[in-house]
Amino acid sequence: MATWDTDWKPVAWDEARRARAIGLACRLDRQLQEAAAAATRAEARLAAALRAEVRAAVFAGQGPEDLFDTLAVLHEQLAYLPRVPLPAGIAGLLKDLLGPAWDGDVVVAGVPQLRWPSLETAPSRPVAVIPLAEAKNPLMWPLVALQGAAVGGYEGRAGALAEALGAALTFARAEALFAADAAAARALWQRGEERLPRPEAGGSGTPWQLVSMLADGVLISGYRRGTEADPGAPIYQQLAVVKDEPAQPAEILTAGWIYWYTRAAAELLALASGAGQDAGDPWGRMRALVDGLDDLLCRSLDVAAIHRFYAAEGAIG
Amino acid sequence: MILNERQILERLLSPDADKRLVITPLLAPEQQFGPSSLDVRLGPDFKVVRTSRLTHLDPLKDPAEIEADVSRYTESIVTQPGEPFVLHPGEFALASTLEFIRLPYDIAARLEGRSTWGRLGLEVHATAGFVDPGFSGALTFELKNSGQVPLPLYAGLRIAQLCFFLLSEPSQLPYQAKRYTKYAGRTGTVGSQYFKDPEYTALRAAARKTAVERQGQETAVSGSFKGSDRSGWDN
Repeated sequence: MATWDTDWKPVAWDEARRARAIGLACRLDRQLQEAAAAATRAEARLAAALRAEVRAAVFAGQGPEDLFDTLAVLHEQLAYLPRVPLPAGIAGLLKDLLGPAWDGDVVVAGVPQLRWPSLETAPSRPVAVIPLAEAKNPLMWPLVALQGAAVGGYEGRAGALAEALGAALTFARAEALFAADAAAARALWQRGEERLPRPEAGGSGTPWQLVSMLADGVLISGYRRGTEADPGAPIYQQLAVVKDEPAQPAEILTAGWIYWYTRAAAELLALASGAGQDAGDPWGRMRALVDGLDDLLCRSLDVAAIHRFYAAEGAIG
Repeated sequence: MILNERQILERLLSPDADKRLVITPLLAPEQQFGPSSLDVRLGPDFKVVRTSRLTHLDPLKDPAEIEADVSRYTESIVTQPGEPFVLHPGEFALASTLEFIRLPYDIAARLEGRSTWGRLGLEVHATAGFVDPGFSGALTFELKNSGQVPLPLYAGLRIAQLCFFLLSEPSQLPYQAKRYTKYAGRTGTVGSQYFKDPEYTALRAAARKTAVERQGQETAVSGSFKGSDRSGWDN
């Protein structure tokens, strides 16, 4: 049975910071790889050289701040490479979180600065930015929504947004500050932990249920509450048992954070420290771990949005 | 043996992870189940080929270069809920199921079109409709509009169906365990990875060898020409 004590066993804060830096390196490497695919030969050579530097920095054993500084310098070079389009899911999430009135009133841009802008002050123009390497990491997308909420007449929604996203927003804010202000980041991390929903008995219908699906590599766009059908019941009643309910973005993101802190971060650190190297290319496995989680969360958000759309329009009963 | 609706349901609910069929999300099972099939829906992401800058794809190039070529010549489109992707007559596009699918080791599946869409000319796969036991991920649609009118396609539409076949015993070589799988665990639309087939490693090696030999012959011809030229000069 899922309980707080059995299910919430996060990595220690120092490990979380190191995992954050290494995760960023994996994401920067992916961004460089995708940019190179659309590049000229010279740009592709630059990207290849940068990728080698990213990899070398990870295995050089630097502390999280030093690794972040190295990555920040390399990340700025993305300005000289073709832009990879931002995932459509970011716009979808903003629409979901800021309501139907939201219709692209704010420019969302990927930027070559790895450091997140201050989230305490409202941007002077209707622009929300995301570091390019973070573009495919949905766990950090709440920060784009937060910037979006602060401009374009959505100021009133910032509080509601924080309420709706709960721990997912607080953890994202902590991770954004992990290198720049470790004390503030740690305080936010602890606040995120306090804001996590407690697992219900059996973990059903909560982000905790989604975490177990995520651990199994399964899409987490919805919940299935039914576990068995009554063979004596009318056939349509039996079939209804496997009907899924769409998950909310906050539930998907919260599940992602729980999974990151309780499983993926530790696995990433083990690979980075060389444990299990005999099982093959550790960098390739680190990339696969981070890419796999990012892709599964992106897809889950996209699919859940479609599910909710049909549920709201009454097409699926 | 093809599974009927109750057998499919039984596998979806199986408490035994080795026997369980995973298909998620199921938005409206009462609409999706047939007597021996389960309708699947269109996902939000599409890949189309931009042919204007494409002469051909050379499978004998270095795989990283081919990957870059494919990426350069392929446009990815992700639609928002309620937004159409329009497939014009004669056009081809890759897409994927909305559902994440995982087959146990003793069940294979076949992807088929739905008559409703077939009547409009929509084909959902060109040739690859078979799904191996142990497959995990989103299934790829090879969409083609063989009809006369453009088809607006929306994510979430039920455009295809799966039927399931029970193997007499579980496979010992399920998709996930195969040494040369290229699409395992992918959750979205993935373009062809044909150039990763091991046959191309041999073909590339042979092509390189031929190129080296040809270069050697050309060098020899050119050397002998230069040599005779030089000897003439010396004389």
